[in-house]
Amino acid sequence: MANKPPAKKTPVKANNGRPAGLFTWIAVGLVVVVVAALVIVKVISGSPTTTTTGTFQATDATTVSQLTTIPTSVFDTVGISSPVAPVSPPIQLKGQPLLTGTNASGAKVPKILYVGAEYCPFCAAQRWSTIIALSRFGTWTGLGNTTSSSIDVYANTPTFTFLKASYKSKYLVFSGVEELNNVYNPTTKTYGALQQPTAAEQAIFSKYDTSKYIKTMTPADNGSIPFESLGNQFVQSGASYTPATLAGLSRSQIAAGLADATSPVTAAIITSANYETAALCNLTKQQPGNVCTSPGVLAAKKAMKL
Amino acid sequence: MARSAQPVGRWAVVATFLLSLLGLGLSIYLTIGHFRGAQFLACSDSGVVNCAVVTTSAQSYFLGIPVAVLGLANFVIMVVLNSPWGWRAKNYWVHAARFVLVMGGMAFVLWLVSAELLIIDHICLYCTGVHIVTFALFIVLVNVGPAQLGWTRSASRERASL
Repeated sequence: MANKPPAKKTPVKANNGRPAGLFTWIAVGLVVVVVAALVIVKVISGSPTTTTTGTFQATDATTVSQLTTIPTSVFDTVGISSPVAPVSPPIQLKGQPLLTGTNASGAKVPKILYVGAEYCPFCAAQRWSTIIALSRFGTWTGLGNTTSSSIDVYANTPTFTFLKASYKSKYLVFSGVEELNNVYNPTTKTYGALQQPTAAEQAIFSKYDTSKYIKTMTPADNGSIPFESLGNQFVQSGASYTPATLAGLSRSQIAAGLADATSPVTAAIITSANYETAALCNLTKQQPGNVCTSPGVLAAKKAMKL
Repeated sequence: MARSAQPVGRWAVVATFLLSLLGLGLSIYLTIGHFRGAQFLACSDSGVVNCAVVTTSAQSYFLGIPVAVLGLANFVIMVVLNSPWGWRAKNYWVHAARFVLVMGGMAFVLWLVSAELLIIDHICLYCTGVHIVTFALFIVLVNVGPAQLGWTRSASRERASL
């Protein structure tokens, strides 16, 4: 067998004259350079600047209106149907003394206690429903804009703060406690302090926000926020629907969508609001009648066996 | 004349198939975590590595679709395309699709890495696993893809012609 002359080592050429491996090297090199650039930018710039300053920002009139004047047809169309995000109703307590407060007219009426914090993403989700439900019994003023923490789960969930909110109703009184803001201090490893509950409110929080009264909780979850006591006759600990529902949406997008009963986001918020309204109607002796006998609230009452 | 794709080395078939299966496993886990809640993921929940913060961030959705679901869809297709049967496909466009998919996947991974580093400020362990698998697939496919698709002459063809 004749020996072939040894093949001369020739660089492999591409059809256009470039070496065959050039494309590989360029492509992989480009990715490595981009990742390296990102790491360098990250190291130089440090943590992203927080989008929150802790400064109170009042909610604009349009958003408040969208939030508090939702068409009745939306409440009734949604009822308790939230096909995308499951919604849990408040838990009814038995044999507990009614928690009351004095309204602006001096009347003793059932009291709603909310304990939460601005950084808390679950509070962020729950406030939407709570504001909407209570707006069917009275009037809100002083609501502020906020978002949940930018470094916690469900980061930057758009919501409202009860920090300077005031609620007027002839049926109910409301006390909101925002314990911490959403500005994280890396030195103290906590958020800035805002409000503290009164001793009486703390006693309610300590007593009812426990697995003893909320069977779906474990003892490790005792003291979770948000916590709501509806006259000590109903309690809600944690969000009634996942904050993931609100992910990627701005406050104004969510608020504008509240008039659309077909939106899955609206369905979750309104279902939660209808459940809460049904519980509130139980406290107000089914007043106002047009709210407490509306189809959406009746559907919630039926599901809650009220 | 119909275009035809050139055969590739066995190592590339084995490597891409195994990498695709690994990516599929990771993306299934992340998709379950997306729907069952971030606490499902066995991952640190404090410090820079925090899967829950990443997988619940606004950037965990792309055009309204969970990124975990997009990753799952990507690797389901990749497993099919990178299977020994996929590599043996006679249709040129099957191989072109594989190449385009890995390029798109790599570009998307770069966006996700930038989101983790510069916006979310946290890193998700399993997402990083998916990113590494995608990068490894990218390296293999940009190595064999151009020659296979006839965009360059492969070394074996060059040697054969000598």
